[in-house]
Amino acid sequence: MRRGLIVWNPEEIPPAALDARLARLRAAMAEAGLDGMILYTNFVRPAAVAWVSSFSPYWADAILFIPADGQPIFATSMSTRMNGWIRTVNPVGEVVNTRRPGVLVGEWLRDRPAIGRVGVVEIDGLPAGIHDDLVETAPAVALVEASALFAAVRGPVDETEHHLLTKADALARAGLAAVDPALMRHAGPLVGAVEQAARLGGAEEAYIALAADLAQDTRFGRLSGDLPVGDTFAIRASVAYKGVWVRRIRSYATDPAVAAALVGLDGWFAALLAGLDPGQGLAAQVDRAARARGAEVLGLMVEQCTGTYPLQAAADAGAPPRPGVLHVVSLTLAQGALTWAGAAPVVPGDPLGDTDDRPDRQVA
Amino acid sequence: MLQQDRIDRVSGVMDEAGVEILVVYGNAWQNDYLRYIADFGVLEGQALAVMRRGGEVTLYLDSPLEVDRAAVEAPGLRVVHTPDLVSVVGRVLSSAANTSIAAAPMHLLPRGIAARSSELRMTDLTGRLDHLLMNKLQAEVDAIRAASHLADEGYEVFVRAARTGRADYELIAEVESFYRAKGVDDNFMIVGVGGPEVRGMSPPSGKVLKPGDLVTTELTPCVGGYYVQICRTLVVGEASPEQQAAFAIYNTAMEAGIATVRHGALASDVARAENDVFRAHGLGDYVTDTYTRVRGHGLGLYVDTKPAILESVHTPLEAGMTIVVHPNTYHPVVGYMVHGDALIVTQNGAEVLTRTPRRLFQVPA
Repeated sequence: MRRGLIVWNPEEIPPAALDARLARLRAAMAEAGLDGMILYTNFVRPAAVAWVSSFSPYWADAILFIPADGQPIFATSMSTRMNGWIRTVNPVGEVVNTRRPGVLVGEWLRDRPAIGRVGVVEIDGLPAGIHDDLVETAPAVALVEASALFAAVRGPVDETEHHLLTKADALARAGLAAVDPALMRHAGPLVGAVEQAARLGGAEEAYIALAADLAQDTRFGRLSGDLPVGDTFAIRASVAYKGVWVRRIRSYATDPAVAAALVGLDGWFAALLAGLDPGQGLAAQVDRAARARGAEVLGLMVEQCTGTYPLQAAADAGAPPRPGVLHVVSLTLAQGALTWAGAAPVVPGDPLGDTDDRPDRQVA
Repeated sequence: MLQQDRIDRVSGVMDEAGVEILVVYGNAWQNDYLRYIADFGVLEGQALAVMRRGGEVTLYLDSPLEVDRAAVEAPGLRVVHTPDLVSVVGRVLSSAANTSIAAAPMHLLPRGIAARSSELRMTDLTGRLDHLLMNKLQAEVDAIRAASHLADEGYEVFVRAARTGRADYELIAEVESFYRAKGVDDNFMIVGVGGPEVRGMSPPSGKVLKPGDLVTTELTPCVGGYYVQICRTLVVGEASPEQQAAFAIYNTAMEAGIATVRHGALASDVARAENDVFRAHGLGDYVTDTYTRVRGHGLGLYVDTKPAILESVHTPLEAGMTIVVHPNTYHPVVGYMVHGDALIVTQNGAEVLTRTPRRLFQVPA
């Protein structure tokens, strides 16, 4: 559940940037013969709408209807009481409150007979209630799958998203830096410290997961409380900043020599990601590099943001990445007696920078 | 074991309805139906659980990270990873041709599954599961009771954190850190900061606390999947006479609502008792949906379950239900205020769970 800072900052997300994204999407829609596009958003699937409008939901769901021209319509099941808040986080489109967003948008479509084809991102995943309302209210409109079209437009990171990713990554790193493995020997204080640091820095959301004893199990759980951790453990910080998400994993050890070895692998991994060849599959490069240093690869995942999910395992990690697209690479390996886990965001060929920006603060 | 008891209840419902296979959808926002049968709180991605009448449950997850989490947190659960939930679960259902299939919650089921309802002869079991979610097992009530102190303790942390010059998200950061230390994995929490310009609560927006501000919060820790809620209002500095007078109305309204709670009372009775206090003070406009959503609601495996406490909802309360009574709304002089306590409906009244004093808190300016 979202508890972090949610606010639209026009300096960080300029209206012109959102206009440019909308223009690119509309150009692709025109080329595909679409009269409109429907993007769904809820707490778990906010990314498509966030990219177009900066909006991240904390409650309920909504659809953003993008006509070929004219103002987009944000049809939300949140009540009119929340419109003031919605306007502080969503500068795009006309906000309409309705218990049945599908009916509202369907009526808009029905009243415009020239509209024949409307794309829907991830149509098979659209909640049945919304889909059925759309179909029943506007039966003459063909709803067509548009995920590939949206992914093609959305993929590359623009300057605005680059800034937000850099900020999100800084928050994740700051959170992970708050861990002292010598002093914090239980899950609760560990994850709490990481989460608090990220939230104090202005994270919109922070999911902190723990592999409590890397010698026993390299899988991560949502663990907290007084669960003891082993001599080596790893923490995964999944952090959102103004609608964009990154993941970072860092491994820790109580033994200084082991800790130094883990830090050495951190450096190797960072250099590896910085030097990835954007013309080859990322997973293959990472796997080759790990094996080249004599490590056993225990887990490897490459994620992207192409649709409504903030991050999702890439369907084809073997293919060369699209230029300028955000990837998150997660790797777990064993090298001798040492087990190490790491994850970091990477835009192949376009490194994320540092930022010291302070989070938004408003005087009421 | 609570989970087995829940499974047995659902099996019983399936038996009564003549259903052989139940498919349930869940995500981190709406997780109650899924958690009831799978005993796993999905966080990222989406999930479908397929339960057979005999009690066998298979959980389908589209996030590999969630698959790992399930292995760590629910090792006895049968889990299948698939990036394409609709196709894979669709094939499972197709292979069960000529058996009776039901689903819940129907309106959230992915369209790719729901569109095959006729072909699969799939019926809607949402209402029957709603009944199970509302009318809890004793072990569920005990779990909520055991967790209720965490709502109080979380609010103590919030009060200690609330000081002039601090931003709203900083207060929440402290509460979340506290909860992780206590083994509370999830929490639903919204805030409001300011004066008459504030119409409700929301996630933090960077508001900085200043003297005179009302700071409202709804704090809902989750323990073992079950949510407990408390709502309280504090003032930065000394409360004004107007703020004190307004609070007195909210407190009287909450207590009137709680006094109405008993087995057999209707949700509408509770709402009316709260609202009549406001009406008696000339504030009847402010108990309408222009200014407030509900006057309370159920608590359980979801933050905001049925029954909604509204004058239009005539659901009978039954002993063992867990609800929060909260006359949260806008006050035209001082702004938005909140005040709410969680409770268990008993045969003759209510067992109030949250113990935080019912006062308008004041923190040093």
